[in-house]
Amino acid sequence: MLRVLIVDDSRMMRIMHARSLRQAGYEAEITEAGSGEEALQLFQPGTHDLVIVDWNMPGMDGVEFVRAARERERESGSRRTPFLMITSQSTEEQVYKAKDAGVDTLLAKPVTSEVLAATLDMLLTVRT
Amino acid sequence: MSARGKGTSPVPEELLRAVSERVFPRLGFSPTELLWQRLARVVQQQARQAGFDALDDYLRHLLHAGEQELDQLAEALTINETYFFREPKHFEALRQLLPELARKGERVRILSAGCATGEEAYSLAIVAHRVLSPLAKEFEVVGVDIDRRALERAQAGRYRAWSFREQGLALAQGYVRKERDSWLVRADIRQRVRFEQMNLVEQVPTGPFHVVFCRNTLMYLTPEHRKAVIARLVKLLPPGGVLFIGSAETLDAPPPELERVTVAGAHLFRRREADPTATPRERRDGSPLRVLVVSRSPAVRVAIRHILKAAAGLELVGEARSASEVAERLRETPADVVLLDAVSDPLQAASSRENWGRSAAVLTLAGPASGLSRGTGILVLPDDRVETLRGLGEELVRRIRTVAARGPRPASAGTGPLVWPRGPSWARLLLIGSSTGGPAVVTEILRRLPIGLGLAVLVVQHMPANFTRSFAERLDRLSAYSVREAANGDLLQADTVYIAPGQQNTTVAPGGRLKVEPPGASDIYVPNVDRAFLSVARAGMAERTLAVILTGMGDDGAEGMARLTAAGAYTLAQDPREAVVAGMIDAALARGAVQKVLPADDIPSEVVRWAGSGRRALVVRS
Repeated sequence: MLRVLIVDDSRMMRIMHARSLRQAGYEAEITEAGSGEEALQLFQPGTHDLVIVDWNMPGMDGVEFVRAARERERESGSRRTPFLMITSQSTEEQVYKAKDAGVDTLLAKPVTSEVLAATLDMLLTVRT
Repeated sequence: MSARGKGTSPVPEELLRAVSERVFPRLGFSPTELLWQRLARVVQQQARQAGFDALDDYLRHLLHAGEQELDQLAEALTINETYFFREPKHFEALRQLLPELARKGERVRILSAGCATGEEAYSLAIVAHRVLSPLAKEFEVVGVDIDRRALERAQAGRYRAWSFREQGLALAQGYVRKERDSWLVRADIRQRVRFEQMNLVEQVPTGPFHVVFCRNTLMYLTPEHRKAVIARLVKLLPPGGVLFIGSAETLDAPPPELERVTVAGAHLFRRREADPTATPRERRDGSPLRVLVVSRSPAVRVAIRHILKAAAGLELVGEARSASEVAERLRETPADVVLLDAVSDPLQAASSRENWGRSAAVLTLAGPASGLSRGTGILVLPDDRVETLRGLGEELVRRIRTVAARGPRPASAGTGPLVWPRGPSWARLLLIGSSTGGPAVVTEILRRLPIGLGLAVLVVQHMPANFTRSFAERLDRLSAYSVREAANGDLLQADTVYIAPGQQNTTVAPGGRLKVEPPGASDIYVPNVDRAFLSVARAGMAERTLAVILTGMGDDGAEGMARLTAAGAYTLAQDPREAVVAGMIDAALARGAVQKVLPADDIPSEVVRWAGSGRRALVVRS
């Protein structure tokens, strides 16, 4: 079974992402985090198959979380977990910022379920 | 919290709450009592319109409804309460401020943020016309709102008496003409007002705007969204630019760039002249950005000299041979951006910026083997030849502007620039050929494409010369991809969209270098889709290319699609039944050059699927 970490301060969004995974045909064991801080506690390098993360969250935001998580991955020398960011931040500078923090794929809101499903397929069948 | 409207059937609260959780985040609205009642009312209306007998059924339907339906509901929720010259004090203040704002040159730009049906935007245009036309100054008003239907009414510029309640009619006198029972805004005023559909929570139009009116919109937002929207609006203001909010509203904590001022009894905010961070950011006064070049290679310095000379708005203020000279140079001649060549001297990148990193923004040019990752402050060149640098002129200029806008920042302490090794800059190419009716389709496709597919995109859209630039700019705002007009010599990069400029032909040379040339005498359609597609086949890149042919008149692209198919590309066509004009699609289909036909809505997910295909499967679907 897949292990997926979903990080979003909105419970509704977490539920929607979980549903999208199911709809795309993936059976996943889902861990939810409502903040960047909580996510960082739950994130253990090498144990998740995918992390879905929002950018805007109170406290530690998504980009800060990804940067810290990547740092931890490097320290432990474990495999790279795919990070999917779903956000309304999509200026060139923001995209660079997210990618430099270690985001693999960035989806700009609003996201259609078809595109999300195809993106999940891509991330979950790819080991970069 | 009650969700009962007067005289209507009771609304099931649990369901309504669940629906609100899907809808409110789209607007950034906080669930106030007012909004609850509005939602309760709106769903009842919509349920009737959608043909549901029971409200419960409709609400349950909404819980699983698609994006589009939720967006429609969100639009219906927005409040379009507005009329001409609402809060006349604000317009009087603007009248007094405009001459000073106009003195700063060019034309005055005014934004009506949350313009609903347009009364405010036209009121602003009327005041601007009254003040500025005697001064022979130009102006432009941009109105944005999320509600598409309201914008359609705004566009029409036709209003009933109710839109002029209070003093509206008196103040608009001479600018509206009565036609039977409605009033039409004068054509020359309508021409100066542009409306755009936009969700302020997600984006703002391209600035600068000397005047921003955002009244009675912020109050509906959650505190976080309010803060984000205000921050974005502030960025649109040049120093001295002014922001008006509703007189019943407050900025919880005004950003430091703003000062509160009172003009003609109206309270408003003005962007301070001097940036409180006291760093040379964007030079908004219109003077050129000052660039200091650091390179050990004379050839590189010459190449950069030429590039900067050809670029408007950039000025070369100095050259240094090594990073160690920079601090001293900057003391003599301040610069906004230091361009650091780490290609000819990899040690440059490592040299300490402690002494001067705070006095100027830095753009580092890095070689392919540098191990440096791509980032705003780093431009990784595909190879170390000076020719390559010359070809990257436009990219270089753009990046200089980007880092200048970001301003100086301390060197990333200790962690070093090495993030993780990246693969080739682009892995696959998406080609889009399009004509009549195409821009809207191209926009929708690119809006939905995720970043990070390793995809470079070339769009060949039949368009006159002057339109491709604004098309590129608009796409750049709307999509997460960097979108720009292709320039001769550009190297394809991942996550970037190149728009073939009008009146010229854009082709791809081996290695992914773009050629932009005048069209041949026989080219009926320019920019030519066939030529672009054929060049990709010839460059041996077909196997990693997906070509899409969209709506359009004529048969351009059919030949190119056929050659690409033969060479191993994946080819798609928009469903001709939904195309505005099916000519180009039919021509490609007739050649047997299309492997799959899809409605435009399904093209983005197909692109993602293709971009992810051919890689090793990690998991098997359950």
